[in-house]
Amino acid sequence: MSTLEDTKRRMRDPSPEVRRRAVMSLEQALGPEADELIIEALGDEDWRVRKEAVSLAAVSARRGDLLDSLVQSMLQEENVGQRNAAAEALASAGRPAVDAILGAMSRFDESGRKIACEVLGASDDPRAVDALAGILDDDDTNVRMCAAEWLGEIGGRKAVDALLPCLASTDKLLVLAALQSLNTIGENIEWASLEPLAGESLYGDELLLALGRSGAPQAADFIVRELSRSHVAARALELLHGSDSKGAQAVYRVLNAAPETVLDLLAERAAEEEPVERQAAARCLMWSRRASHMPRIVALARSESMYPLLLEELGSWGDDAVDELERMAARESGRELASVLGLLSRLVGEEERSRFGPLFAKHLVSEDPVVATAAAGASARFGDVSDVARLVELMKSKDPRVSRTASLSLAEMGRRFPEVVAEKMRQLDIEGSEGVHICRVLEVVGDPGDVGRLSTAMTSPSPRLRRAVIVTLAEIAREEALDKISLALTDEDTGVRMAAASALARVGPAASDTIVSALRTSEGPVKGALIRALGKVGHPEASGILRGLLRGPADEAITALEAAGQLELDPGQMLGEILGHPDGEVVKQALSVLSESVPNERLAGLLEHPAWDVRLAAVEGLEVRDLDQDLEDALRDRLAREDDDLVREAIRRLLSRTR
Amino acid sequence: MRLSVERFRLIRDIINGRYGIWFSDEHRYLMESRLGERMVQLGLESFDDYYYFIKYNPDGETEIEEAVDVLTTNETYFFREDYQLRAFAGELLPEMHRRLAGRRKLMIWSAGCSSGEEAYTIAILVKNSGLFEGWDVRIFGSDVSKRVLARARSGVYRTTSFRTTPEGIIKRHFSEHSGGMRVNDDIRALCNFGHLNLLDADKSVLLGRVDVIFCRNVMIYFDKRSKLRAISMLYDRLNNGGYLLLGHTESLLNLSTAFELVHTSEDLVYRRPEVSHG
Repeated sequence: MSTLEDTKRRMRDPSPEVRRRAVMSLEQALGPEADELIIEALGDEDWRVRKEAVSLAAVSARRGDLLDSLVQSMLQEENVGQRNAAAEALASAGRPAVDAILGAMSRFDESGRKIACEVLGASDDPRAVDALAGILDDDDTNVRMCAAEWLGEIGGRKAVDALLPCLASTDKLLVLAALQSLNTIGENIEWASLEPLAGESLYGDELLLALGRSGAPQAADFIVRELSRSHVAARALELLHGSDSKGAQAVYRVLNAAPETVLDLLAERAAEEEPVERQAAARCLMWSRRASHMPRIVALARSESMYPLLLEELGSWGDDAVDELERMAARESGRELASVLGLLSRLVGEEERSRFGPLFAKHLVSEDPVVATAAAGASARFGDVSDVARLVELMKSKDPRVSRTASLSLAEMGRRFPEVVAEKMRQLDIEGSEGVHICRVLEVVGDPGDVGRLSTAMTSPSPRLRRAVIVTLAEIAREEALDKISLALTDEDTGVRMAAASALARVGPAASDTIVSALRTSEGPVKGALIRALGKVGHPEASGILRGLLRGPADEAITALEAAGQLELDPGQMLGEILGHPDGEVVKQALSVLSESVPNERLAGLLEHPAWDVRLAAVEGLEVRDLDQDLEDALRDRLAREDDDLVREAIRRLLSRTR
Repeated sequence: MRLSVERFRLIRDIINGRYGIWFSDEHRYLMESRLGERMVQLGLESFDDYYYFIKYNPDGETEIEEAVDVLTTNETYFFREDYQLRAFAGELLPEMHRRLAGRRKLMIWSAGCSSGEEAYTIAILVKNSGLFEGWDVRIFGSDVSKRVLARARSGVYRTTSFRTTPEGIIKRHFSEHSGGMRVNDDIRALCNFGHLNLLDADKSVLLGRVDVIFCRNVMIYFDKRSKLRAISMLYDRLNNGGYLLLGHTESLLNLSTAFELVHTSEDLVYRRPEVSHG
């Protein structure tokens, strides 16, 4: 029995897997009989067989074969699976399919024409735009809408020119599809084209977005009326505001005149909606520019993520915002007061220290921890020497937010008043509950004179404090702290050992021998930290050490690869180890990091890797290379034996480039 | 719960393999009673279960540490074996002060420091000698038990730890503290503590070289093979001319000829020769 006969027989086997493999074998068979079998397989009842056939058919279609048969398959109505599979093959065939489709367009029924639109849209052929534009006046609404949608996907000037006249159509669904596509493209449609559409509720959010993009001041009134109905209206106002100064002025005008109920609604949405709508609602609220709305705006400051936006918009209010916030500070309390202080401290420049410093200092003594925290945060920029003592008291607070904020502010104040802050720190018990915070401040104001106290704290039973001490020692004593940091590598707490490993990187090149010694006996995250430290400080034997680690467990190998990159070691020297790593993930990482350094023959070698995902990564790596005959042969050889459909698909795609 | 001879030996061998500590057959009943408590705490029903736990459970390594902790006597106190300490303070410290004046750095290791009394005693002696002001002095205490290291770090001790401590020393170097007396900060500043197995030669490299090693009443738990490994490591960690101080019942007889014996007025101590053997 001939090979093709055998394939035919297997294609009638009850097992889908046998049939799929039979289709696979057609890769090697050429000629009309093989083509016929591929088309037949497109109609197989099992999706896996059809998928295999689509892949083969697309390769054939790309080289100009099978096109008529595929079009014929699209024309028949008995087998829907075959029809869709043929369309899929044509769509992925690209440009060669466009001619075939255009030639057959008149013979398609409406559902065939709709599929044709999809083939054209996905073809990446420049002629597709003209072809789709021609279909915009098709007899069938669905076909017209499909053409409009694909024009939106393709984009470009020609697509816009084809879509704009559709806005005047009496077919409302086509208008909607055109609006949607023009919004997708980001086109600014003129007011004159949009105004007639304003009364039609069907166009809904698409019309609002288009009005926002139009930049027409007249659009503002319409959009603001929709605020209570549509969640997109605020976004539309945001677009209008961003169009030009006239648009922005119109937005200010309509929001300033908007009823309170609308602003209540915006405040509600700004607190609840998805990020994009939330930000738009918050901006609209601030564009109302009414000082009486400040409490609503301040309420938004409860969310830290809103701060950049609030500061940006309130910053444009100038003194109005600062004055109103100052008035609020005099009458508010609790959470609202904390938000006011937080906003003020960020809005006001340090040149205003004499005006606002006393305000923040006054609230440093608040019994409400939220207010005290906000005031402590403000002290970082506005605090005076006289505030240091109070901040130190706050640093002792049992409330972690208060103590942490106070310590961060003290560290910042330490840059302005180093001696005062350092002296205060020296009066404190570093082994007390605020020891970690003291270390944080000492990182800024400490000097080698503090090493003794810090050394004492290294005997603390608290691993958290020992960790903080290690970091501080490395910062203020550097090389002189090397012995102490080395000893901490024997600490019983993993976190302390990790801190010590990271601190060695801060010590610098003097720590390189210690890092190398410690690498021999460390495991897990500590070893990872040491590898990273080696990557930062280097060592004469770093290359050999890192190469050795590349053969180790996956996490160590990947960290070693990063460290080698930091040290700018020759990646070519590491390929043997890293590409031979037993964990496929490591090999893939290496390919993504070292892609350009991996020669063709190494990539070809990975085509034989036992893990399918590595083989796929190798094929993808070859996609950006020029294929010589040897590579092509290696790919074909692999394709004949490859079991995985994704890898086969990738190889076929790559090989079709060369045909 | 009974500990069979077979299970006793299997558990003993695991501990010996990790830490070099050796329990002869007469320790079976000690192991039965002390590890029996651990078994209850772990919710295990038999020594078979306990054996499988330390051998195969992911937390087995930690449990071996706990076992070592409860099986070895950690009881110690300040100024223990004071005749040796007098020799250290009166003869070794002055000798090192002269010999190391060029580098002004003194590193002492209390190997098997238990709850820290020995390390702090050494620090007090160095401080009180008055010879090392302005020097970089470091006393490193190590142990395999995390529990005793936590006590060492706290630096707080009850009366029993002071059974041989002179009153003047207590007044000068300790302060009242809830739960006992606490070592003053100037002494604690000289000390560091770490988790180290004396059979882990690679990790010991992190200490660098030291001038004195106190390894007293630690190797009494070791079998001969482990003693040889530990002594070899201690030798490697000493600077040339550095001292090794063992417990009063311990010696290097039949274990090592690399050290030289130094006679002090009250004791015998070992020393790595000035011209090293390697």
